[in-house]
Amino acid sequence: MAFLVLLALVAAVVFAAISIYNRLVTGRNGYKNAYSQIDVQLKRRHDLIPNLVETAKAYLKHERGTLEAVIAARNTAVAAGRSAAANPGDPQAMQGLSSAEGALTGSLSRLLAVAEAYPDLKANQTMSQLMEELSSTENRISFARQAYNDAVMSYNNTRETFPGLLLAGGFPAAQPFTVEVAAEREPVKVSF
Amino acid sequence: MSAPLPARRTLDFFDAQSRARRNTGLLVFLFVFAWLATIALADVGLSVALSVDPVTLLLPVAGLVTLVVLSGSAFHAVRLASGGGDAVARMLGGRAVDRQTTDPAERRLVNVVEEMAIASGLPVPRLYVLDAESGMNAFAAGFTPERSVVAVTRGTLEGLDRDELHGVVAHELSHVLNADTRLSTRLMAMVGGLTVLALLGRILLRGDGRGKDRGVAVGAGLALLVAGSIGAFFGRLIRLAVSRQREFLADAAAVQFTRNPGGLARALGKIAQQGSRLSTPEALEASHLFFAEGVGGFLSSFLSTHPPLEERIRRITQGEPGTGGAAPPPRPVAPVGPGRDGVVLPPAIVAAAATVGRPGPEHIERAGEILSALPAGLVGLAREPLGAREVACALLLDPAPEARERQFLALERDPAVASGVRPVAARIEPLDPAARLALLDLALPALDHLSPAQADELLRDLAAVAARQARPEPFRWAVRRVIERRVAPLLGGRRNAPIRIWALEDVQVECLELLSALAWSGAAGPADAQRALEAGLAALGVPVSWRLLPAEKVDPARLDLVLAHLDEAAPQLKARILAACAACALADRTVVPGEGGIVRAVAASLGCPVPPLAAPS
Repeated sequence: MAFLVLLALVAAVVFAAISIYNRLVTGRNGYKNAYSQIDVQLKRRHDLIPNLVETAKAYLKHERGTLEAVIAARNTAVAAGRSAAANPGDPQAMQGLSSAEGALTGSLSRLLAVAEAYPDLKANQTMSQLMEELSSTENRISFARQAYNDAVMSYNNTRETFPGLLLAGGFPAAQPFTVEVAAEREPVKVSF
Repeated sequence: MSAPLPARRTLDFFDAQSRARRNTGLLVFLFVFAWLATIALADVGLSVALSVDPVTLLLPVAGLVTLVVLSGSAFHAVRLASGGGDAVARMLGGRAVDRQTTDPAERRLVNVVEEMAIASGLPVPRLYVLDAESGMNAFAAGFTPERSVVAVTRGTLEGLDRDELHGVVAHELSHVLNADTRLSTRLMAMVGGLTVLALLGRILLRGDGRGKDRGVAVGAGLALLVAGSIGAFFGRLIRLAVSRQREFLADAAAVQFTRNPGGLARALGKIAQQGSRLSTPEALEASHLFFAEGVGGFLSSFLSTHPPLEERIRRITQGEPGTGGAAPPPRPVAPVGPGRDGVVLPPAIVAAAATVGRPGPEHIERAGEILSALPAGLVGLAREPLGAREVACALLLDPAPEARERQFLALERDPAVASGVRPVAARIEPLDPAARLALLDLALPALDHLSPAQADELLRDLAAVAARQARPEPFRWAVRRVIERRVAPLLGGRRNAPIRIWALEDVQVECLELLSALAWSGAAGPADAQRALEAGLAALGVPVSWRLLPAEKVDPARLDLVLAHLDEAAPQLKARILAACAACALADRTVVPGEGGIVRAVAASLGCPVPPLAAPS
């Protein structure tokens, strides 16, 4: 009888350990997948921008500086995205990516602010479709970041709270995505 | 008077979700209990009918009931589940929406669904629109995330803005994520199984035997009918209670996905106004799937699949249920009724003062109004760090032309900044102060992303601009104070000062100076100012024996010192001081921007959030 009880206890412990381990693995894969979602959306944004600039060019003849700044920021962001995708989770690459994306956001919002002053451009149907896509993409990026951060939080919670703590040796802590503008990065100069 | 510190409830929605999950677990346990009770009831009934000992009969009866219930459940499950989500959507008159659609409204919907799929980490569900339905409703159906569909009515598609649509779609995706369709269908099938038991009883009753056999059959039939009916009745009640819990869960998850309780709350508000009924007769069968109550005129709280809209809105915007054991959150309360020398605070003012640190739906609505009145270009600029820096400088400019030129000259230190500020200043010029305050609020989060060097430059620019203004003015002082306080942590400053002051007696002079400044900024004359001061003092909880400081003694430069000192107060004391400021600003039932600005500056200095003060109407 005692033997049976002991056996049941051991089985319960083993079962619990397996389920904790599986939860850790699920969490790790979950946040990695969430990271790749951010990446996908950033690519989508990069693909949209040339179309947007092309459409806007016809109307914004006097705003060449603004348009060129957007394209330049986009190209920097594409390069930064490639190096971050090569080694996800690396703080240095993440930092570079967030500052490049920050600069792109800045130059884009300037372009949109300038576009306000051109009613013809706002009335253009292609432009309004592109604007819808762009604002949706901006939302997607922030939702993807949010989902990534939530996934990181729940993974880290599993890792650091009691039973998970015992098995978390092989599972490194994950870094949430923070938005920062690095001091060294040249801000986008623009002439209104 | 003790006023608790307004608690920050940032991650409320995670709590709300685990609470709803716990409640579901409890209800499912109750459901199992109801099923066991049905077995016991049938056992007792049958043993009386067959005149056998109930204990010997227990095992066969349990087996019989289980067999009948399970086969009945299986029958119902197959009937309910056949065809998956697409079948349900088509049954209700849905039209599949092409992901590549070019129709603007549908395009927006497709984008919103894809965005929320990203936020929830689910595959993008197939999308349907119920063209014939003008009521505002939506549903999700399907047993697995891969095979699920989301459908919205035409009323939803056309009547909701993007934020509201986000809330509705996020709610539906939460049902998909939490497998609510499956849970609900399983419970329905179980209830269906219990009704099959009752049906069996009815068949036995109707049978045509004679003599003793007939009596036994009638007795057994009656036992099964009663047990089955009672079991099914309670089973149905529990199923509906589970359904209501899942709605709360989905609302909380929707807030997690959108991080925007206002959007969902406004959507629910619109639904409350415009109705969520569906016209198709098939709606009854799918009633548990909808976003809001889709059928029926009886809104009795036990027999509906959804909680009342008001309750849902309240939980979303306050994050805390009033029922279910938990008390409503304590609010910092100013004294109501006659003060010590007979000053009576109108309840509306007390209520407004109590909202410090706790924005309600009216604030969100008010903020929405102000925000939509701002020019879009300016909003975009204020949301990114360098633009926010320009907005910050522009907000501090003096309206007098010659002072303004001096200020621009000072900004020329960095030509890029000066050339950036000029056009922004021209666009801010026509805005009223409430809109300026809103713009400041928009710019603040973006300022957090400045580098230390940029933050330092910004502070120097602000100091230079402030030094060259024609005359000091409370609103601009407040703006500068709020910005300085916001960027201080970037430069290595402390977010919260160490606590050194515990008693009001130690900061009486400071409080008087602060409240006097507030009283003067909103008052037409000395009498008004004295009244405002007294309202503030009553909220602070001191005997009204203090005299108002004369207007010329109130000096923004002094206020900086005062606030630095007050920052060392204990949190409870800070909450009282803030409540006093709010009461003082609202004493004359209007909030002039100067007052609003000072209250914000005080709040920012003390590290407490405060919603825009909405004057009681």
